[in-house]
Amino acid sequence: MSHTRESIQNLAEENARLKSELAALRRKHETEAVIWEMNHYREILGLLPLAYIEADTSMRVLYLNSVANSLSGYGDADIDEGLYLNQVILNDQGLETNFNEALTGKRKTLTPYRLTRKDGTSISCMVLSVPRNILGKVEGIAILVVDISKEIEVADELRRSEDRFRQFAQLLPQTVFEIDLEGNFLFLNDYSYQMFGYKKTDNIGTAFSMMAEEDRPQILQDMKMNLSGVPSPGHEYMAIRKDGSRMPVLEYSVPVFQNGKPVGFRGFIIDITGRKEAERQLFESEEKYRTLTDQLPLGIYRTSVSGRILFANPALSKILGFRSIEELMEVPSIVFYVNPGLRNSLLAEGKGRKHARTAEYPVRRKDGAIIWVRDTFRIHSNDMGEIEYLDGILEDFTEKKLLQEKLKQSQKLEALGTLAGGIAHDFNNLLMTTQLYTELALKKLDSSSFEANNLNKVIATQAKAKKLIEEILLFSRPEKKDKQEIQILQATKEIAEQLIASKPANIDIQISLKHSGTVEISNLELERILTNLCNNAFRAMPEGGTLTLKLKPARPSDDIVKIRPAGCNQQWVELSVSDTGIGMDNQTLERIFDPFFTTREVKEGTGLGLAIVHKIVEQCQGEILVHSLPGKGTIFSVFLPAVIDKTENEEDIDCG
Amino acid sequence: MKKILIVDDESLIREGLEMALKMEGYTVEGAGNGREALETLLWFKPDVIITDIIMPEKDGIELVLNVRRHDKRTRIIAISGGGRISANDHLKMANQLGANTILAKPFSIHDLLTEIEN
Repeated sequence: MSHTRESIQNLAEENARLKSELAALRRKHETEAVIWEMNHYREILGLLPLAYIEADTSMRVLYLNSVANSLSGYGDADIDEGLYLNQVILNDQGLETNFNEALTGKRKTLTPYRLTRKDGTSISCMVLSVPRNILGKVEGIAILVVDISKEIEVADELRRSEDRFRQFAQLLPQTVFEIDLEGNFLFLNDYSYQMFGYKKTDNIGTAFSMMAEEDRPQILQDMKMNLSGVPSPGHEYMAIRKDGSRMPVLEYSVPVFQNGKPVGFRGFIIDITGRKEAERQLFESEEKYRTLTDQLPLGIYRTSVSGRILFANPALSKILGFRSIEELMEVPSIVFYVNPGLRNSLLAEGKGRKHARTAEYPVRRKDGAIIWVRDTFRIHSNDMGEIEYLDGILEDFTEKKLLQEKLKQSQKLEALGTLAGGIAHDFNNLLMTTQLYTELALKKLDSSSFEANNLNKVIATQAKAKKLIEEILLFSRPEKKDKQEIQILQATKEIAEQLIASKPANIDIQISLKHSGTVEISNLELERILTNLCNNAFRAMPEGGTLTLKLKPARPSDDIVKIRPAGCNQQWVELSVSDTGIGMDNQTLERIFDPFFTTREVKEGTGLGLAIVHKIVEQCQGEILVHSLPGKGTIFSVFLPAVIDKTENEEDIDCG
Repeated sequence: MKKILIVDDESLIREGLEMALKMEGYTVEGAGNGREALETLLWFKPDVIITDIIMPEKDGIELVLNVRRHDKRTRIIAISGGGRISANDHLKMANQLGANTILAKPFSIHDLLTEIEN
């Protein structure tokens, strides 16, 4: 029995041993199978373009495939030394992470993490972790790591770019929009609400409802054009604010396509109320200035350095005698200067000055007439100091200049008159005394005696002195006296007859007297005018010549109309005396009406003749004009206001 | 021969004229101004009064007015060197107030004699 028991025991022991060997064998087989299987998977996973990492339950890294190896920079040597998963995979905030959860298999989704390389840098990645089951037992985790750093970078860039443009759109103080084809807003920046008077919470409606009804057909038309590929140059529409007020806007948009099909528009809307107002004001201002420059009686110009006229107003062309501005602008401005060098010297003087300068000078009109202008001009230079152009205002002050000169003349005569009146009485008494005693002395003398002869010269000189005083006293007469309306033709004829009788033998007299009505003047004054003018003419022709005396009604084309445009309704009589004598230069002409100015020897005249003529003409409210050419002769034209009586039938007189 | 009163404040003129007229045979008296002339007229009955206009005390205009108040017959010749402001206004005024004729200074003795005998 003991043997059986022993055998049974042995058998049992054998059985147990065999069982254990079998189990060991099975385990070994199973382990080998697992290892094989594991290696097999690792080989397959090694082929994946993904990083694959295995770790045991303590999260010690057991395996890195080649992708994980190159991605992380860690290798087998690091694994042997002991590399833990949380050194390599950090959460997306960059913190160490606990993978214990993964051991339970709960987390199976892709989760963003950061992978830290051996060199310390990190990249974004997505991680999928699964528990590693070996023979039903969790031995650790296996994780797949997808490098998404590039995708993140692109996405970040896209987001930044979108943010940037969104911020721009928000910052723009104009409406930025995106609409679909029905006009519904897909995007509107914050300013849009402000611009259209809405609150952020308001329902703003569609793009069409924000525009004036009358503009909507045009908007649809423009949208069609825009979609058909015609680039939009920007359209002006009238927009309507929430409160119903109107606002002119400028709209720019481009069509938005998706998969080649139009889906809407993107663009912006600019409030141009200010611009419209400025445009209106500019237009009004331009209109105002244009009207001003057109209406101004002053010539306005801009000329280039070379003298080309760049701008002129109608008054300038009128002043210079042109029919139109266009005609004037074809002519270089330098031709108008009587003194050709003047323009350059004005430019030289005015260069670099900031303020306008004024110059007075004569210019030649298109018809050749010389007029005086007052030019207030400013020279504009560039930064280099080079003259760019000349701006100026030109005033025709011929008339004013004449008036000024006349005033100067009158003042001179008035001063002389006052002086003369003051001394005349005393002077005449002195002359009376010398005359009286000279005559008394002569009474006791033989008229042929030496003494009587000399004393007669005193008497003759006294007579001259008396005449001089009389002439001076003519100026001290303040008012018109003894004036009467005379038939000027008859009066002139009588005076002319006396002149013919007293003329020097070498002078011919041509007389042409036309019926000219009546003039308010005394016979004596008319005689003084004619005698003085004719005596001057005689003296201007010492070698002989022709004196022409003319009387005629003045025509509107005559000079008088130019100096007295206000008197164009006035009838004038022109009395002219011309000679073919020596003539006068400008210097002499300027002074001929000055009292005591004479070109003759002192004994020949008083120097008062023309001053008296001037005074008489002035008292008659007439004008006297002189034209003279040295070597050719002189013509004096006296214009007197006339009462033309057409009913009278007087004969015209012409004689040689 | 005619009796003549010469009124002028300028003694040289007055005496010169007296001399010239006496040489012609006239009876002549002189006065230096209008007041003296009126005194002289009380005893000297002239046929002709020759009077200057501008004189101190009583001028020629006043003299003419005084004389003409009761004497239309005596011939009055007003003489003047002209006004201080205007030429012959005083003479014209004298003429209008009663002087028979006027002579502007300076005049010749011959002119004066013609006027006296006119």
